[in-house]
Amino acid sequence: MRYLGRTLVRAILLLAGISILCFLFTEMAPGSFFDELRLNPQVSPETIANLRSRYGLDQPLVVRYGRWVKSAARADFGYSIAYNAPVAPLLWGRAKNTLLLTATGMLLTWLISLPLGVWLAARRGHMLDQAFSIASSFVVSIPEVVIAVALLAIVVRWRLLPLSAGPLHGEGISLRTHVQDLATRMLLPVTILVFVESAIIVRHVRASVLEVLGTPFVQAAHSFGICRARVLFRHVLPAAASPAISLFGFSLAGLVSGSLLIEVICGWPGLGPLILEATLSRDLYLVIGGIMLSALFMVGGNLIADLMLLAADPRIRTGALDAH
Amino acid sequence: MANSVRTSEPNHPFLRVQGLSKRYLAGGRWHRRVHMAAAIEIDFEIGKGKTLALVGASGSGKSTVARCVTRLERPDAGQIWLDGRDIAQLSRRDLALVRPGIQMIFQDAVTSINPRFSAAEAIEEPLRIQGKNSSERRSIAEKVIQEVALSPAWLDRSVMQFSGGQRQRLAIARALTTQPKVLVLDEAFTGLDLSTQAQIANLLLDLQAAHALTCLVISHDLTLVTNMADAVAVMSHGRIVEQGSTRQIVRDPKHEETKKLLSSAKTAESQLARRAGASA
Repeated sequence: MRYLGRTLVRAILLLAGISILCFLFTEMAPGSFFDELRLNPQVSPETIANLRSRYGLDQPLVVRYGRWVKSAARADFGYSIAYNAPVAPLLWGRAKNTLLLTATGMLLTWLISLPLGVWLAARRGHMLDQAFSIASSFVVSIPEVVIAVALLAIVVRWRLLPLSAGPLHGEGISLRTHVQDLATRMLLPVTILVFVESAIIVRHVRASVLEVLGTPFVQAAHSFGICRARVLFRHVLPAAASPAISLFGFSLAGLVSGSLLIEVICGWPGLGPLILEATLSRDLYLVIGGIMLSALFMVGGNLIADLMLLAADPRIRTGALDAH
Repeated sequence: MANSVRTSEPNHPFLRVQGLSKRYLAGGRWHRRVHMAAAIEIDFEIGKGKTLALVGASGSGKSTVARCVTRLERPDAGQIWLDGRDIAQLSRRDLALVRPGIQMIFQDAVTSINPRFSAAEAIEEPLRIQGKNSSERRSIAEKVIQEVALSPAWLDRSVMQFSGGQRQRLAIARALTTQPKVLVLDEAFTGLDLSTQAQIANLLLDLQAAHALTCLVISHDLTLVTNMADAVAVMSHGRIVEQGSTRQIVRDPKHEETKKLLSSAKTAESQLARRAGASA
């Protein structure tokens, strides 16, 4: 409980620090939401000044931050100038779509990566292992955007999937049609996510398992004639789990921010297009809200990873690691 | 090929290694693979209840020989006769029957036992594959932990709560559970302080006498093993360059490598004596 309390306090301080940095950086960034209005000769400078005053943008940074903290305490997280609505409901509406996409992608990624990483580690130096090593280096070195555009181009060129944009929750259609439509639309972005993430996670899992396979206690287990399955499940996997759990924490942390670009490219109505639009139009509080939501998932993901590590590794529980 | 020395009756050594060779992939890919010979044409034999020390500098191939003898590695060539049976090329299934009879104590006591285990789990694990039930396993664990001079009350402690020397005792206890005939000690004294080294060496001598264990001791420290071994084989660059009785090797070393090992052991001894004198 003490550990949990300490971690929670640290998380709150971290979120406060991120929010302060967000305000400082957005203040330093050039331009504002009303810059385009200034170019319009029909809008007078007084009107713009009135609008700035209405949204509190004429106030000093400290006052604006104070107001935002109060708004965050009410779970509004500021007010979007472009949508003329509180930020939280706007973000949550889109975040649900993003989470549906990223959670599916993450689940599939781990379901593929864990057994594949272990299998490749057990066949170190085999032709398939070498082939995967070259292929994954290739995928890791190419920016995610390029892979997404390339896969999109393949899908469009050969008409592999019906492409559509717009809201996901259509009314007046049966559940089955809705699920089919959802699955079809998710296929491409989820494939891109799984393709890119798996290349990284499989490499990490393979490296962790290889490291444990070389340890004397695993060799000792082999020397007793213990069967490979028992050595794998009783010795190797629990020992290799710690780095994989930390990595899983990072995956959770990236649930909100990991797919933003892919959503924009594939036309998925998640947070990606919303944040991009808000950034381009300088919709200050919406951008800050998006960053804070991402930070919240990062802190939450790391907290879950810490708790999982605590459960998985008795050395952390007994504090023995600290002693060494 | 170096001359073989017999440490028991000439016709039936308990462990005999003949022409053992092992090489590893050192680099390159596919058709341009570069191999490095770690052990070349190794010959030695040990009589029942006797000890052979395999000594040499780091990288001389001692541990490769140990790993081949315990069949953690399959040798590229040669035979390993264990009580009259060649185990060098046995299949995984056949090896499972042989493994309990030949056990290895690893170099690093801290990493050779799973740190997530309790002492009981670590010691009892080899017994699981023999189909022993939990009460039988517990009773054997209590017996062997006492044999290595640790308290049975400590069986439920985490391995992490044992010191380096105590963990090496646990490793020995774990090896004893399968009632082995051959014990291979791969640098088993490295990382332990002098007094713990002496305690473990004495413990091993007692256990050897009690269980008629045949021991292969791998070490870079010639002084330490001379007190334990009946015979010594010196390795350099993957080959046995000299072997003979311990007395013969210490009194009349022939090969440069043996002389070097003896001289470095003497230097280390005199340095220790000087330090002891200075602190007094």
